[in-house]
Parts: sequence; structure tokens; C-alpha cells
Amino acid sequence: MRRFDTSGAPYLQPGTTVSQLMSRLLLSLAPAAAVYTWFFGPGLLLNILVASAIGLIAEASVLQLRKKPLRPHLGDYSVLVTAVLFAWCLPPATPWWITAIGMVFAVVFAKHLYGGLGHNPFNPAMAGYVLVLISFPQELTRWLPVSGLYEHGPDALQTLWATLTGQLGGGLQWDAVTMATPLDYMKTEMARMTTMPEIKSHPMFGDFAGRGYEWVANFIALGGAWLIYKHVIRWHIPVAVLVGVLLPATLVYLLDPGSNGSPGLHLFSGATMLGAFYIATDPVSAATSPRGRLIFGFGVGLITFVVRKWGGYPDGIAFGVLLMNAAAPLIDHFTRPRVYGHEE
Amino acid sequence: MSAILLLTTLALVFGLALGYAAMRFRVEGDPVVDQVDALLPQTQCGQCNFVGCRPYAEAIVGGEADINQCPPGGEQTIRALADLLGRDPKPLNPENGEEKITTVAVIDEDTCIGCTLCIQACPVDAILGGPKQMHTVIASECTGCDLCLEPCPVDCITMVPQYGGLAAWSWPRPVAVDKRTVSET
Amino acid sequence: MRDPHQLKQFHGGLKLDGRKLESTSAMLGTLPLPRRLLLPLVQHSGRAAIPIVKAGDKVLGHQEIARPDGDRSCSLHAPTSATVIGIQCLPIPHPGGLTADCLVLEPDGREEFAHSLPTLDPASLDMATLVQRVRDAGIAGLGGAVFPTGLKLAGAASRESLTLVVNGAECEPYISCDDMLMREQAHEILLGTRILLNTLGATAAIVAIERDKRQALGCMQAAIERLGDERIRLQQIFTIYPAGGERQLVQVLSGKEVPADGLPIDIGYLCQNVATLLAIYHAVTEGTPLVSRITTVTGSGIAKPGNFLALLGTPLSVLIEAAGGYTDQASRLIMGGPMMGIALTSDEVPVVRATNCVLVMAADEVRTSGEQMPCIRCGECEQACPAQLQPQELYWRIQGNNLAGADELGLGACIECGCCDLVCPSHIPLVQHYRYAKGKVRTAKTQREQSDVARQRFETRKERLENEAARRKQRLEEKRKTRAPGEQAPKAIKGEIDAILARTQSKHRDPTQGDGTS
Repeated sequence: MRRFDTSGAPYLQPGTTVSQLMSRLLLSLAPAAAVYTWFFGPGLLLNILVASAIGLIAEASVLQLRKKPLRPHLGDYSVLVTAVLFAWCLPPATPWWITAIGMVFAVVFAKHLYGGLGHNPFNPAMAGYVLVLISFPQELTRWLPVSGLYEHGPDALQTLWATLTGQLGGGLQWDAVTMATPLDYMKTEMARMTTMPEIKSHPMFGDFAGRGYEWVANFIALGGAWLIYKHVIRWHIPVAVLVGVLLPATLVYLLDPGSNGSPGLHLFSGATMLGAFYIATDPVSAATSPRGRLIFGFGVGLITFVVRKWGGYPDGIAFGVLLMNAAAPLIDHFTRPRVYGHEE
Repeated sequence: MSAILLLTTLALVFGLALGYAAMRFRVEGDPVVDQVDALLPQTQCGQCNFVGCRPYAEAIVGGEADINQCPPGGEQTIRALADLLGRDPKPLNPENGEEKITTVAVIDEDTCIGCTLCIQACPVDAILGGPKQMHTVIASECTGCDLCLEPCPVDCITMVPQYGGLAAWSWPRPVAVDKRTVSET
Repeated sequence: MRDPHQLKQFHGGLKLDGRKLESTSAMLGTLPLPRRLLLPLVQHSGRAAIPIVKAGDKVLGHQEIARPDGDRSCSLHAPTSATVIGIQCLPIPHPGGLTADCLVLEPDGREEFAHSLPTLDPASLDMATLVQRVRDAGIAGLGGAVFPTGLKLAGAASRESLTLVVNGAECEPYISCDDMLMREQAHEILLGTRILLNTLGATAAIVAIERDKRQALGCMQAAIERLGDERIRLQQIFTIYPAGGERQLVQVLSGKEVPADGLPIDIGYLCQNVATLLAIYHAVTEGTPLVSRITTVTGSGIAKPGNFLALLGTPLSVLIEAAGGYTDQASRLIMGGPMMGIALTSDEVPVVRATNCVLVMAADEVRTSGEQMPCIRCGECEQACPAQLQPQELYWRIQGNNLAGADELGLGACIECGCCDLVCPSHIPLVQHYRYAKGKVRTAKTQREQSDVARQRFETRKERLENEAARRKQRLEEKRKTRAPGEQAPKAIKGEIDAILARTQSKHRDPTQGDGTS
């Protein structure tokens, strides 16, 4: 008599895996990374390299301590996604130890101490970023000029040297080779009561946002749109974040165009696109129901705008995401969908 | 000076508010005892050393009894009580008995002499009968407390398991085992 | 085929690969008479039937061999003339691999049939007669739920504006038995529908068929036109799993939701599977009980997939042999479909009323257990759930042993369709968790009800004893007052018995205290 093994229903294979979702996410960022490197040099790639290496080592160590199997947990690529997004938020020539500190904090404290993948209430990349932002304020503002502008940014070798040692070689000074980001420049100039048209006349501004930066943002948005098409993420959070930034930006701009950035500027500057499509969409720390996600995303966008306009930092995506992460359980509680057959 | 006055006034105001609330929102009885009683299995067997489940519930709330004295409730009840009262769950106290499967009493009709002792002993009146009449256990009402075993002078009562087979089967909890390594996730 | 009525949608669902062409290309097959017929006494939702024959009896085909035990039970009939071998505890198709009592028959090959049920005239059939006939014929829902049809119909009595739904959706992949039935017996299915229409006083009947079943749609449409009953209309529905589930089907056809603690009949819809309607037709017009059903035998592990008319009680091995036997790839044997079926350890279990399909899957097609990752809260399960639940929230609560919390979130509304499992990137066996949790919630509820009754009885008894004690005391007082001085008080026998009891109970509480009595 023939005997068969049994298992539980359903018997069909599931459509996708966590590692497939993560690897698609990484793939979708490749074009944007290439554009970034074209405009700002290899700094981003060096950051990603350092962050990924440190991240993998940190995660492997913690998994060993927690007596968990390495292959499935490292193989889900979630630490690589954290590394890439974290690295993207750092300036291109960031010294490796800053990247390392941020990654170790993100992986060990913001992820594994809460229970590992699926259990972290806060976005690990943003938690790590905020830590290094507060701890190393000077290094985190050393942004590079877009290539083709002034031609005084560090070249590839100098970027590598800076990443390894934190110093520029050859007697160069940091002030000579760095340039503020458009948002940074806007904030400092507005505090000096400069008007928008004057600000926008600076050569660092391109068609509607920073030169170079706006192209990177475009490609990030394209990558994000592909992710939505491939069902890696859903449209609710990205659209809500963008609306959350656009709505107040448009209102404020209509009221006083002279001293406010245009909505387009806000959309394509800073980490708006990265935050909307990649950072806020981290499923573990975001809200879960469709309605909840709309509220969550809108909150992220709104807080980002508030910080940009009135806060102490030029960009507020990290704060927006972390604050809304804290609110996510409450949002979930109040946006539970109605079950079939139940009253509202 | 003004600080002293302010604080005194605040204290008076809050004191009055609390006093009013204590009268207006007074709850009769102790609702916690009801909640504890709701978690107990109502076997009324006395194995906890109290006469029935409600006295045991009152004792738990009053601090005279621990939460691990109920064998029919078993680990499930201990956990539920621990959750409700914010105490630590602990294993069943072996002095009170051990957790057994649910049983019901069955009277051997050939041996029964109709003495009504078991009828008087049953805490939930689950035995039907009268003096010199046949006694029968109403199986659906029997809680399996074992109190009828002792008084029976001819030892004609046995406890039999209540459920089994198809009717009692339910889906087991899925256990995740990662086949690539030996550890359990 | 035009759709004059607007189709609504149900939430979620999945578009699955149908895999039905493999088994529908061949004609409906017949089987040789099996050596033994194994008929479980419970192959329906409810109490087991009570055998009315014993070992050694010779029975004719269609003779009743087990009677229903109460309302929620179904009778059993001999599928063909046979000798009763006896009642044996044999493996049945059950997820736990359990055994149950089965009436074992040995067909004698003569295929002689009894005619115990007289034919009825469908035109002059009243409700009570129909329900009794359906009960006598042992009919249960053949779509999979196997609920006793007589009870279901009785619940539909005296409803105004009742709509019949003829469920030909068959949404689960691989299964094609209803499809074949609709191609071959469309007219009889409609006659069965008309019997219900007339007897129940329903206003309309909607025949719901998935739109990719072109041939079945054609056959049913032609039969509807031929019958010319204006109350019956055909409705194509979108091919989304699980459109064939009662609750989702009613939502698609009417836009209304079945209330959570209710049934479709509460909003005026009665669903019946096409095979059940055919069985009703035969039971009424010919007096034949339910003794056979069409079963699909298919999958990569079957050499020649197809559909077969099988007698209830036929061992699955007979069906598989008729379908060309196993291929090299055969790895999983499943009764039912790939989403909700039951995996079996051997093919020696019989065909029962619920056996709509025997599916043998290959190893590389089957989901492997043990690759589970933690839940990443992606929310895809929520998007796919046809019951509009939040599967991941349920999962978190069940993992945290908060079954009451899971119940609050609507765990009872889960139809265990498996959509959430298929979309989960972490490969969590969600349905298995829900089945476990639902079972526990049900058990806890039963226990709570029982303990509530016990508490009530205890309180009542306490009150009774207190009242008796008070009355006794009162009587004693009066006696003492009216007693002449010097007279002795009567022996208080009751008091002695109470003392014995008190001693017994205190001994029970403190076993170390002995006093010499038993």
C-alpha cells in the first residue's frame, strides 16, 4: 500500500519570498545610484559598500548571539536594504566609522533588540541616521557639489581617502570642496531674509530643484513606480507622503511665493522621493491597513514639511518617519477594516 | 505664601472631587471576584480546599489563596488568572491534585442500592433519583468533581472519560521547523 | 451571453491557474464495481448515522442501511446490492488521519435495487414532503460542506422573496466535477432547480458559473432556453478564487453581505450546488437516494486525469487505477482541491459525499513547510482576504496566545480559503494557525457555557438547601412551642446524616484526617 507524506492546506506554492521583495527593491535603486554617482562621484557607492559590510557583520554577530540560523536571516537581504537606504542619507565622503556606528546601531539596537525582522517598531535606517546626525553634526553636512559646477569637488581618489581616514589629502580644506545641499542653502539664506528668486539664481539650482539632485530624485521616483507595478510596495504610502509634502508646500507657496520654496522644489529636493517610495514604505514599521497607510504617509510628509520650514534641520524625512512609526500602532488600532458581515 | 494657599486650594478641590467620585461611581460587591469566578471551571469539587468555586475566587482576591490550586482548571486557568490579576503564572500545586482529562460519573445500576447519599453529595444536583429508586447521573450536567465517589456505600460509581475520537479532535497548533537548520523558529 | 445584471465584487481573492483542462478533455468515466465498499457513518456535518443492518445481512441497492440520528444527521444507503460484512473502524479522509466506524459492504455483483421510496409528482409537492424526501434520500450538500440538505431547506421555509442560487462556480483549481455535470446533465439540474423554486416559493433562480467554463455555460444556457422557465437565468461570474464560496457568491450576485452570525438565507438567498440539485431531482422523481457522485481525479501525479462517476464507499485506489495510476512524480495525495483539500496518507480511504476531487501533486509543485520567515507586516494578506479580515493581526494575536483578541477581530468570519497563505512572502502557514485558533475558541466557548450552567445549578442547590434548612428550623421551633414540657425531641436522623456528610467533605478536603468510617 502506497504511503504519502502529509502537510497542511493550501498546497500551492506562495507567489513570492521576502528575499525576492528585498532584491527587487535593491535592483530598482540601481539606476538612481548610477545617476547619483555620475553627478556626485563614487562617494555613495563607497558608503553603500561600507554600510553593507558592517551591516552584514553586525547582523551575523547578533544572530549568532541569538542562536538563530544565519543563512535564512542574512539571505533575506533586509540588512542590505537598511544599509543602502542608510548610506544614501549620508554625504558622499562620510568617514567609514560614522557609517559603521550608524549601521551597528540600526542593526543591533533598532532591529535585533526588538526581536529581529518583523518586530522593529522604528525604521532601522532612520534610527541609525538620526543617531549619527546628532552625534556628528559637522560631518553630516559635508555635502559635495554636483559635478560640472565649480569643478572643485574631491575626485574619486580623494573621496576614497576621505572615507577611509576622514581627512582630505593634499592640504585641501573641507570648506573648499563641499557645498550645501539646496535645502540647506535655502534654510540658511532665508534666515538672512534673502528672497526666493535670489536664492534660486544660485547656479546650484537646476530646472526646479538642485542640479543633479533633481535627476536623482526622478530616477528614484521611477524606481519606486516600478516597485508599485511589481507589487513590491503598494501605492498608498508613497502617494500619501507626496501629498503630505505637496499640500502644505503649495498652500504656503501660494500665500507667499517670495520666501517659500515652490512645491516642485520640495518634491525633488532632499529625501522626499527616497522617503516616499523607499523609507516610509518599510512595511514592518508602517501602518498596515490601506486607510492607515494613507494617514501614516500623510503624517510623514506633513512633518517633513514642518521641519523643513520651521525646524532646525534642512530636511525632515527621518524625523517624520520615526515620529509616524511611533504613531503607527495607534493608527492601526483606529483604521481597522470592517470585517465581512460585521456592522461598522 | 501664595504658593501654600494655591496648593492647599488644589488639595481641597481634588479631595472633594475624589470624594464625590467615590460616592457617585461606587460599585457594589467586588467585580474582581466575579471576574475570577468566571475563569474557574465551576466543577465545585473542593480540591482547592474551599467549598465551591466562588469561595475560592473570593480567597484568591482576598490574598488567602494562590492561583494554582485548581486541578480541573489546569494550566489554562492558572494562566488566565495570572493574566487577569497581573501575577506570575506557576505550576499547579500538587497538594491540590493533578490535572486529569475530563470525566463523568457513571452509576452501575446493578449495584446501586438507592441510598441517596450520592445525590446529596453532588454539588450541581446532577444525579437523578429518590430513596429506594434507581439513581442515574445526568451526564451532560456532571462536572467530574468526584464528590459522589466517597459517600457511596457500595462503591458503584466510576469516572469515565467524557470525550474522544472524531468529536473531540481539533486542529493542532502549527509548529515551524526550519528544515535547513535544526533550530525551531 | 449578455449580462443584464451588474456584477458586484468581493474583496480580495486571487486569480489562480485553473488547471482544469487536464481533466475535462476526457468523457465522464465509469468505474468497475469495487470489491469492498467502505461507508463511514459520518460523512456529513452533524451526528453519525445509526446502522440498521448487521453483519451477514444481505441488502439491495438503494436500501437504507443507517438512519439519521436527529435532525442534523444523514441516512446512508447501500450503493448496490451487497452483503454487509460488518462495522469496522477504518481510516477515513480526515486531516488528523483518524479512523471512524464504517459500514463495510461486499457487492454481490448482481446490481439489484430496492424501490423503497415512491416517486413523487414535482408539480404537487409541498414543503414538508420535500424535506422528508430529501432526508430519506440521505442528501447533503455536495459542494464540500456536506450540510444535511433537508435541514437547510427546512430553514428556508416561509421566507418571502427567496432567491435560489445554483452554484456552478467551482472556483478551486483542478476540480472539474461540477463542470462535467453541467455539460452532461444540464436539463436535470434545472429540473431539480424548478422543484425547489416551486416548493419553496422562490421568486428567482440564478445559475452562477465562472466565465471560463465555456462549454458548461453553453450547455446550461441551452437547457435554460429549452425549459423556458422565466424565473431561471444564467449569470457568468469572474474567475476569481474563492468566488464559489457561499458568502462571496451572494455578495457578487447581490452586493449584500451575509451577516456574520447568520446564513445566506437570512438575506433571502439559498445556495445549492449543482450536484445537490441533481440528487434532489432524482430523489423526488425517481425515489433514488444519494449513493454516488462525480469525482475528478487529476494532478501531475496521475497518468490519465479525468472525471469518474463513483459509488460512495469506493476506495480511492480504484479511482486512481481507473485514471491510469500514479506517475513517477506523485508526491502528495489530496482529497479536495489544492487550496482547501485534505492531505491523505494512503489511498485506501473511501469516496465520501465530500469527495469532489482526488488530486495527486508533484513534489516540486507542493509548498514545502519549514521555510517560514517572520511576518514583515506587508499587508498583502489583508488585500487578498475575501472576508475583509486582517490576517496578520490575527496571526500576531494567535502567536501571543490572545485567542479572545483574535476572536474579537473577526476570526469566526474566516472561511479558511487559503488566499492569505499564497500571498505571504514569509511563507507563514496562516490558515493552519486560524484553524487551530478557531478550534480552541470553540472549545473555550463550550466550556464556558458548561461552567455557566454548572455555576447556576450550584447556586440553585445552595439556595434550595438553605431554604430547606430554614424551613426545618422553623418547624422545629413550632414543634418546640407546641410540645408539652418533658417530651423528648424526636431523633434527628437528618442531622446525623448531615454530620456524616460534613465529616466526609472535610475528609475530602483534608485526607489526613481519618475517623474510621468509609
